[in-house]
Amino acid sequence: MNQLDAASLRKACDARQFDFESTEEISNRVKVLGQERLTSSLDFGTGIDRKGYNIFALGPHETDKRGHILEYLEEASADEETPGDLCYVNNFDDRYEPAALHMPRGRGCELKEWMEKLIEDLPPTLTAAFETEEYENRRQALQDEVQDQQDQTFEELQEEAREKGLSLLRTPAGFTFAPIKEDGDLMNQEEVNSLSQEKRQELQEKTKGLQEKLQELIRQMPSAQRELRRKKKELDKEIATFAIKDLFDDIREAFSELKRVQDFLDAVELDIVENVQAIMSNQGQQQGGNQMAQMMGGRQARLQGTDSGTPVLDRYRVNVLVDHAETEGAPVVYEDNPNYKNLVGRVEYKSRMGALTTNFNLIKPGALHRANGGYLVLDARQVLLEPFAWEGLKRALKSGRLKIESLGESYSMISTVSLSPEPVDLEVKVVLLGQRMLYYLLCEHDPEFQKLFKVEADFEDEIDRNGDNQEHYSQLIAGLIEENGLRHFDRKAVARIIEQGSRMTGDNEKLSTQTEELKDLLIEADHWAEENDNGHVHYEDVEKAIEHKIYRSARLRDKVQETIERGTIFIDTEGEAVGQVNGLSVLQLGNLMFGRPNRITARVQLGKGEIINIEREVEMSGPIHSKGVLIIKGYLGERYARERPLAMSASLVFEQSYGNIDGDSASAAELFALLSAIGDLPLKQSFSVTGSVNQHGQIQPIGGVNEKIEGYFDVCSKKGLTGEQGVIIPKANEKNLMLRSDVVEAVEEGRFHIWSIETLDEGMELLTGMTAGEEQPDGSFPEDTVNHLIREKLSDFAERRKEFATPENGRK
Amino acid sequence: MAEESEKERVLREILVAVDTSPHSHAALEAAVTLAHILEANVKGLFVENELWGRLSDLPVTTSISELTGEEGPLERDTVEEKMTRLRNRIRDRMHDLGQHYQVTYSMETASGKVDEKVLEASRRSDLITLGLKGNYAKRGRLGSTARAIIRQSDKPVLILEKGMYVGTVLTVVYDGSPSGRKGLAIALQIAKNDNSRLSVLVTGEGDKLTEERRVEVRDVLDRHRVFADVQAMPHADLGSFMDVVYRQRCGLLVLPKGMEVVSKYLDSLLRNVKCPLLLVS
Repeated sequence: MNQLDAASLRKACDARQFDFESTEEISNRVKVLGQERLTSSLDFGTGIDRKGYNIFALGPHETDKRGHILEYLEEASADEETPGDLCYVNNFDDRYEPAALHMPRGRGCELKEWMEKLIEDLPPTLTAAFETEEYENRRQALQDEVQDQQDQTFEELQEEAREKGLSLLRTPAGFTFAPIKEDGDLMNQEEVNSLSQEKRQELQEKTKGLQEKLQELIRQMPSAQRELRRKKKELDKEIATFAIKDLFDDIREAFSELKRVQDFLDAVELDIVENVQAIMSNQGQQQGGNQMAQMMGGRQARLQGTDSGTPVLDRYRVNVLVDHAETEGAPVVYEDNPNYKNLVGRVEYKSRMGALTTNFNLIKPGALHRANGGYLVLDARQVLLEPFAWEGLKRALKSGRLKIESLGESYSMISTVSLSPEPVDLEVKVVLLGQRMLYYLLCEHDPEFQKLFKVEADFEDEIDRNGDNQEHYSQLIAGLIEENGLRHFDRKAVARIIEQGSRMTGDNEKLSTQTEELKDLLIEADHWAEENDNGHVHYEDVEKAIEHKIYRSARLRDKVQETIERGTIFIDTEGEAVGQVNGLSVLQLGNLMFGRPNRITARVQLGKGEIINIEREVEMSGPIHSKGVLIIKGYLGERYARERPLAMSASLVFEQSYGNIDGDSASAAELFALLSAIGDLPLKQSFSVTGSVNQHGQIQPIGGVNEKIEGYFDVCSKKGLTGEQGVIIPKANEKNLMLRSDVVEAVEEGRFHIWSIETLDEGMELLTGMTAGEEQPDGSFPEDTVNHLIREKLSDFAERRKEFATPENGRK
Repeated sequence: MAEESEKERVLREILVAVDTSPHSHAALEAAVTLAHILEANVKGLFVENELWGRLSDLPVTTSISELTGEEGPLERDTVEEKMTRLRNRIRDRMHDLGQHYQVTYSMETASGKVDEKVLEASRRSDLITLGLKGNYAKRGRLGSTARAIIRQSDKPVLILEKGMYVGTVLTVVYDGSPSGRKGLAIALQIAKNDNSRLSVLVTGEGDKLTEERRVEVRDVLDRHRVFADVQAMPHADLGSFMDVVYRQRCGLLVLPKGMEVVSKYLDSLLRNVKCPLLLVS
């Protein structure tokens, strides 16, 4: 056993080791520390250009994973090639499947501007061409030709009818031939009736012949009109082709090296020629005009000028989905709202007259589009929380193709016509950020996960605390100060931050690299410096920040301590008692972890070797705690009952415990209480004990040692420090000690004590003030030692049990 | 106030002769539009041709469908039924247009010769609107009915064919005659109400007279606070007239009926100007 001196309770950081007065003088500032494994993983992940080698960066949430990963990627991507732009254009063969147009970097917007200008110039150019006298004349000539032919035919038919004593007339029921008199007037009923039978027969035959001719003429009219339309369209094409040629010359020259653009321009040119009348009508509609023009021309235009509710000219536009004109190196994109649409893109709709319509101009990019050719950083938890986002992301990575699909379409009961944009090749490195548990859960439960995220980039939580690393830590502090625009810290403040960095790890030989928590501390210390009108942040400001943070969260801790102080929860801090010891537990509530003493009691009676863990019986005990209790039984049997049965029954309980208990850090205390109860040995209540025990009676380290010590110290302080009180901890936990300065001070002044032990015997000696007693070669223990008394008592139990086991008692 | 009363006196009611032809449909739409602009009423007149009744009384008369060429008996009942449908269709169309343009309208039916009935009805109206021709009159020629109405009517006549719309440029020819003045007044009213671009072509024999009339027109325009482009056209022969008109890209062309190009070359005019003509008596 070892009574620890004050110096070993807190590994102070000596500010004098620093050769700077404040962080202002630190030039070599860093924002991350001790992440060699992570950096190596990232180097590997970004360097390997193979499918599935995406990265999962895992670490606690207190680490600024996003900031670090983005900084790393921005640096790494700076020298990489910038990908080209991505545009969507109308597919003139199938407008429901817009075509992807890959452009060299920055040229997407250039093409868009060219096309906007073309669209602007197109209607006036066409209008000018189609308003020429030549066009009017040729168009009229075509119409006249057909009309003249038709008129001529009718006139000839009329003439023939007249020659035959008939007239061709038009009635609401159709055409008819009626007999006429010599003066050309129609015959009436009487006049017809007065004609001879032969004459009437002759007229009927003539009528029949003329009717057949008329019928033939009528049958030919639609085909004549079709032919007229065809000829007009041919004429329009001829005029339009000539008119727009100049408009395309400059664009074609500007993009002469890009075949796909040339193909697109060919398609546009062809479509314009095919739809020239619709384009001009659309223009008329858009320009408006006065009432007369709108009422009379506009009605016509509305009928002709639109195609599925969208302006005709829109289909010549270029929708630039991704523009990398301003991007330096490969793109690095962080999507903070990674829902399905924001990841894979979407097709938007416009409401027009109550109906939803869309076109390729309404295709919107997702983060994968923007990051294509570079890096996409996502928060794994957010992706998993968004419906369909995880599956959408995996689908894109698996296929290596990015296809925009509407969820509404996929899951709707009714299939509607919508856009199906051409998929694009996906070459992106996805970096997921998440906590370790999430990573391991995904590995366990998603069989595709490890195929797609082969690179594990693990953030270190801590680094060794040595002279060099303390120096590096000050550089990290300086880097975070600069990043967050804080006051500079003087070197004492830096030293205090380093001490706290060690306390964060619960290990005086380590320093925390969880920059989020560190950053919070720096920001809060800066705040208190501001409150105190300090130009620099001093030691006191850091101390205040630490204390105040605890104070803000410590309402429940204080309540617990108050109930102990007021005697509601029974904790003795002086005197002696048999089968009773002060154990220590830690509670994590929100931001604060604190320790508190618990009274552990044990009672024994004659029995068959059962140890009843009362917490377990009522299902308030976790498995680790239950395991600890079973270890106790193993220890007792091996140490004291090798030769005879363990003829006792014991019960162990955490008194006044109203919640679940887990962990094995109280197993040593439980064993002390049990041994005390067996041997009827009073234990000093001024001590509180923490540590787990194995079956050989060795004391093993536990977590939260600082909080436990401080928790008991606070209780003792409130009840009054007697100079006898102290805490017994495992020796292996000595390196974890980074205690509060008031605890250290009390130890230094002899008002409080901390002992470290390696074995149970050491602990029993401290608690009983008796010698534990070494086992003799014959297996006995020296008289008047703790172990002797315990063995004697157990022997007594065994004898009594043997006596009790008579046939009268139902035993043989 | 004087201008308002003048407008009311000049165009209070627009008569439009309606039948089944697409030219007549164009005329109806033009009439409703003008009525909307000038706050006038529209009266539609559907004339049942007397010949139809006589034809159906003839023994063994057949009709040939215009659409399909199918043959069927031409009986009085069939003709009556078709005419009823036709009337209803025209009435529905008038109703739609009237509602759309917020114009008061009425419809009358008459039986007899179309030109006579239209002229008779026009006595109570201020303007007649006609389709250029019926369905199968020869291209570029006025139909006989339209020709008769234009010749005999003392009211302004607006004639147009399908595909013609009253555009954004209103052109009026001023020759100093009373009908020229009346045409100018109508054009001014339309231009003021519709913010159309007004263009005035001043004709006269010789430069001096033309200039006097141009000044006269300027005075009228100033009085009415209407901006217009005024062009002198001393020699109003058909060729130069049509050239000027073509360059104007007229929407509606207002002409005095007594003008030589109208009285002598109306068919040529109609064939070439390709815009609605308002012939003012």
